[in-house]
Amino acid sequence: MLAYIIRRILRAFPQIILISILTFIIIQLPPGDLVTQQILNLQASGVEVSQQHAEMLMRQYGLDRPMHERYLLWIGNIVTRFDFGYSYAWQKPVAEVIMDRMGYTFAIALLSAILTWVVAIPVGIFVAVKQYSITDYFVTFMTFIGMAVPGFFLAMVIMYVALTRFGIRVGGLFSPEYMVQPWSWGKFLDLLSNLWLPVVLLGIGGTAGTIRTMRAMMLDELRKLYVTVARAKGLSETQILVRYPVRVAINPIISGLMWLLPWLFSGGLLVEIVLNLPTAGPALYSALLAQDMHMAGAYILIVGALTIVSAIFSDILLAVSDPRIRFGAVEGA
Amino acid sequence: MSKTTFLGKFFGHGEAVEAEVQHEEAFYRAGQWQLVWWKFKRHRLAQVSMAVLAVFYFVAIFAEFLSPHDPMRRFQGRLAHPPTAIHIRDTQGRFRAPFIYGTEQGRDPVTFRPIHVADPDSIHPIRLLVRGDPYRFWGLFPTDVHLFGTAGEDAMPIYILGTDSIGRDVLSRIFYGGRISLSIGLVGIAISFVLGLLLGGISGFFGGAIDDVIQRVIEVLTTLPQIPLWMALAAALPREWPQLRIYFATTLILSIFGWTGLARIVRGRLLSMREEDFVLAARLDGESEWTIIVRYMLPGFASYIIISLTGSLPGMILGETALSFLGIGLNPPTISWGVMLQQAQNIMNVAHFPWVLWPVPVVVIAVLMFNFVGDGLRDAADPYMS
Amino acid sequence: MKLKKLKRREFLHLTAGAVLGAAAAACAPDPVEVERTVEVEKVVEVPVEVEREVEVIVEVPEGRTEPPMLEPRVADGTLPPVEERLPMTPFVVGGRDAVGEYGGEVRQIHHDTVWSVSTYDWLADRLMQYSDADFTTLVPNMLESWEASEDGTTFTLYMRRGMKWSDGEPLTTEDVDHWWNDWATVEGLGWVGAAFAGIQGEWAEIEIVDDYTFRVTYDYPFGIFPHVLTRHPGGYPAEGPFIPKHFCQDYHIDYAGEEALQGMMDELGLETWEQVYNRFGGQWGLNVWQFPTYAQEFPTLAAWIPVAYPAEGLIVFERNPYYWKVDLVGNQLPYIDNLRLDFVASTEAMHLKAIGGELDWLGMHDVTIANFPLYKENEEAGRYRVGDYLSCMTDRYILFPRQTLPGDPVLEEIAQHPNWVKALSVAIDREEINESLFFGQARMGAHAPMPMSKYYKPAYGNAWAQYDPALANQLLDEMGLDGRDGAGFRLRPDGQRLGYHIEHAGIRVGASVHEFTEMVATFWREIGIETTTREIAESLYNERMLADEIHCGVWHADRVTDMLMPVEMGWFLPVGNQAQGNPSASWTAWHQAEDKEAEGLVEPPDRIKQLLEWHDRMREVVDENERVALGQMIFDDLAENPLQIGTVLESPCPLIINRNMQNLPRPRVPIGWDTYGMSTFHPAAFYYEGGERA
Repeated sequence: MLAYIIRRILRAFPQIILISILTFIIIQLPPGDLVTQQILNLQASGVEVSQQHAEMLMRQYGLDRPMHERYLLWIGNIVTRFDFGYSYAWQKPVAEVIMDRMGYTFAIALLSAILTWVVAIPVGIFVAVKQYSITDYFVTFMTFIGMAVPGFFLAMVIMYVALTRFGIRVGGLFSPEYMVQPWSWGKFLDLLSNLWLPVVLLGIGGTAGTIRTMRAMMLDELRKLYVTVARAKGLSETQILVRYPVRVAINPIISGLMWLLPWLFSGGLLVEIVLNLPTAGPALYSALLAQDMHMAGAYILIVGALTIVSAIFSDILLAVSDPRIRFGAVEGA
Repeated sequence: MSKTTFLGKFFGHGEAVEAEVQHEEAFYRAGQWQLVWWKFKRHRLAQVSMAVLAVFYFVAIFAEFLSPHDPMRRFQGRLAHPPTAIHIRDTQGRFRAPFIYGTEQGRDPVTFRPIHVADPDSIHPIRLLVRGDPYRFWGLFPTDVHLFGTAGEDAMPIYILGTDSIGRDVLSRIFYGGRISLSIGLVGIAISFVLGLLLGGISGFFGGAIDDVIQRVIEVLTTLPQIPLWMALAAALPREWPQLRIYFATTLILSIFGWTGLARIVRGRLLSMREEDFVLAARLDGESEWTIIVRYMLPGFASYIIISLTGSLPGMILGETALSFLGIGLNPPTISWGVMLQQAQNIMNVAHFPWVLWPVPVVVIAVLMFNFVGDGLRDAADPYMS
Repeated sequence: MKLKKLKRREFLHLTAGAVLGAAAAACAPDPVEVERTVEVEKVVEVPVEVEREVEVIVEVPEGRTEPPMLEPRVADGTLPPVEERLPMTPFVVGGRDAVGEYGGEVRQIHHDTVWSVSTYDWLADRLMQYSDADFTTLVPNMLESWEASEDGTTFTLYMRRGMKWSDGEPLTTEDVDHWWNDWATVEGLGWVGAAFAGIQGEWAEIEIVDDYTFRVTYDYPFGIFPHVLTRHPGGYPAEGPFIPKHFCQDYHIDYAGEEALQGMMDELGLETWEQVYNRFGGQWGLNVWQFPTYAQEFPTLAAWIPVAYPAEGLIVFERNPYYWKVDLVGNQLPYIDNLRLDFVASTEAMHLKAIGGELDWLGMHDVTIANFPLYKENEEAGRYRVGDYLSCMTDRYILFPRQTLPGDPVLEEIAQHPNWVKALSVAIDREEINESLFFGQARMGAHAPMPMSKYYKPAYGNAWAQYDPALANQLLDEMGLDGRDGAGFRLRPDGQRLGYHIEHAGIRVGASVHEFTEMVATFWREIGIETTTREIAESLYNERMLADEIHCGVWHADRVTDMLMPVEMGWFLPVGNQAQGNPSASWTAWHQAEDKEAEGLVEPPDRIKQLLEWHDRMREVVDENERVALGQMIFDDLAENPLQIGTVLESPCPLIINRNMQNLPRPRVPIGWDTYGMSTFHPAAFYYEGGERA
């Protein structure tokens, strides 16, 4: 088992290198670059920028160098000094801009994921056991609705209705008065009172999907011979459920763990923009629009790296829950 | 009991399942997919959904004839007109054939908001097969006959779902928009399907080094957040391309990432399944690897494939709305539900002209229906269900 | 104190005279005089009450009042008293409704970092500016006074004696010297900004006269130099002429030495000392729209300075204790103690905040007539007023049919035919656009100076602005585009269907730009041109405009008042802003090139060259009347043969303003890029009734 884990972790390194290269390519893909963009902004504000001036800026910001040199410089700073570069748009180091935001984004994603599992797994098992009951129909219907409504749109309508019909301020993570204060118990409560909406909005789609998968997997397992055998042996229904089908049925959900994270980040982006959260998503979006490539690069790289890490966890969990895979993997490798 | 039974039938669970299969012999001799179809036919909700989708596609195909107006036509003086109420009783209390009142547009003197006041003396009966905006049916036959509407040059036009802020009929636009929105995800699904099944299958069945390579590729692809990729790729597409081709290209790009989910599911199932006894038995029987996959293993996880596929088809429809939200999807004058949503999604519309949000329920219903059909197919494809 | 009742018109001259003070008594030729002759003609046309009686002071008031917020700091000795903080001749803001009350906070928003517009809206002070009484008269702002030589080659600029940076250090010509000699002219470090770069890159000579005076000399007449000084960003010295030497020298190799800078380079991971300097001193690339998030300790000259960043994207500003403006009775400005700017990611969230009463100010970049009913209905609940102003930016759509299309020579020939733009223009039903997108509240017309401009003639606004599809068809037929295909679209000479694409950068251009372009597309389809519209990312739009790849671009039509008429004329001629609009990026490149024979340049036709020549002449001449005459020659020509398609002549600018805020600009004045947002109206003199927001 330990050997498997070590091997699994070692395998992640080339992946992370590949991700860093892909990230670098992605942030270079959109047309134009930061200097061009800044020059255009200067021109639009009435400043005439000469060709030499433009070249000078390109040189100063290293944009005249070949791609691979820029990549090595960028990744080198990250690896050796944990320096993600400088955000030209925010005029400060990327790490400073992004860390708080990443924290909130991650917290929301994590809470949404927890909400998803806490709700989806039991409900999925339940509706599978009680197939064709009223509860099953109701849950089925609700999950489908949950999967069908675009979250960002729901967010906008909720914000408007809350404000105009009930006079409740929705959006953001803090009330304006707490925003300027240092951390306190009151501020924490305020955060919680604002946090539920994005967490729920983000969780809806995932919960619905996970309930569907869980139900389907359980239904398959429940009909298998070993369940009948177990029943014949006189085991209680709960014992039967927990001992076998749930453990098998949970596999796809565990293997789905790793891509839940980028899904939450990407899907959350629209909700974050609409709800105006101080999270990383809106900052990434504007960074991409503004060609602020160190900023955009840091975001993609961090999300990528986090996902790799969660993939490792998901694989280890999978190996724990299904020994066949563990031995199969050891044999195959 | 009775309710459960009704719901049970509705959701496809009949008690007398065997009885419905009249010819037992036929049942045992039927092929895999024929069985699936028989079982699907018993899933009422899926059937209803199928019927609803059929109506959707029918409307999209005959949009020109079914929609009361030209979707591009702006009715001046009828901006943000609320849905027209259809009456069968006039102000004197007399019953008559369905009709609508003519309206006059005014403005709120303070807020400038357009106001439409009905005139009880101006009565316009609704007729079938009326002459209206000229069009070319399927771009071929010029005509001006519409299924329903009000007749005459000066007649008050009918707006079942109201008009948008520049005076275009929302219903007609939804009808035309269905053409793009209902058809466009299919390509993406097809590509996702082929790639997911093929690569997931190879990965799961053969394992070892091939599995390793494929898994690493999948992992790297899934770790990249989609939004920046969309933005980057949307920017990289040639601008001379017609809108439709740009969208197809975009769905293609989406599906290149969409297949990874399916591939993981397939692989996960195959990994655990290849240890099963029946696979070993088949192998000992001397069956070829291909036959083992297709005949023995595929039916075992067909349900997941179907769930994953029907799950990603609505995802494509929703994907279009997300792309539009970011302004990198289709653009006017192309009409799609996503384009309509893009224009509808501002506070002003939510507050004052909620009827322009009609594309939202339409999208939701379409997505729901696809999901129900997928669910029905899943149950039907389940080999353990008699 | 000397109080006098005066008419506002007189006040203008007197303020100018008073501010000039003794130092510039012998100002010859008096530039104010030049302005005045024109201004007198103008005033009648300004659609606002100008003759109203106001109580003004013609001399700097003697008393000084300490803002209450700063009293504790003065009392405990951490801040010198107000008399010592103000310059000898502070700027006196007159012409206000009332003497204000101190206190309060203004909540605003910013969207993104590059386009954080509220900053310049409230914070940009400039060397010179146009008087907010008539938008035509030049008055000194940061400068105390200025002098121009008769031939328009030499300009002497007098700074305010005793004016201080926000950290209390004096502002002197040392800071000018540092800007020019240690930064702007140093190869590989800085650059020379607009005004001082002169015409065709022939830089100015800068000569320091004494601690508070410097002289700018050109080899040629550069008559609009003082006008260009109205476009400088103030507090954040992106282009000079002040860089706080006492602060920045620590990052400059000439002062700090190699060793210190090497240390900083290592610490920051930078490779050259220039990068270090520009990160802290020169504010690399910082334009007036950018947000000073780095600038907590950076000395400025603005009315409010950033003091805290309690949460990411949230910046709290506090009054600058050394701000150099006072009101009529000697109260140090600003009245309002704090600004607070929140980062808002979506426009919908922003509008919700505004109507929910969470903002005290929603500025010109963010408000739109498209949401007017929403604003108006929530006035009570949101505790704000909707301002009654004219826009010289928001919602004013203009179409730029590009004259040069190197990628499609056949279409280029069509586009350069004089009938083309005319036909496209008269095919547009502007009244329908007015009704649909402006609730009938705009005044439609061709692209022209706004009616309040001294360049304006009614003929300009009406030129080719009628709705006449028959004429449009006739014009196109005359061009030889009379062949049609089966679908009814016109055929180009090469037999292809005549396709035409409008591209735009989304709501950045205007809230209803989608509807606008879609309407225009259908108008043009009606005359047989297969028109499509497409939203693309702004960076892509810029790149494609620069390459002349876009058939027809869209932008908002600012730069239409006298404040920018001689300075930025890119919307009329190929002389700038080619990435956003203007008739042709290729011709612009030709015009800007020093060597007209250089490879790859596209020479414009003679008519364009003539227009460009008049334009260049406008920049040179000293006499304002001559400048107006030259300008009208250009506009006469454009009215006959338009190069772009305007749609809106005047439209409302519904600013959202907290109900308690006072001393605001008068109703119906223009607000937009031309006025630098609020900056022309001295937001430091705005105040809350009762010292607090409603």
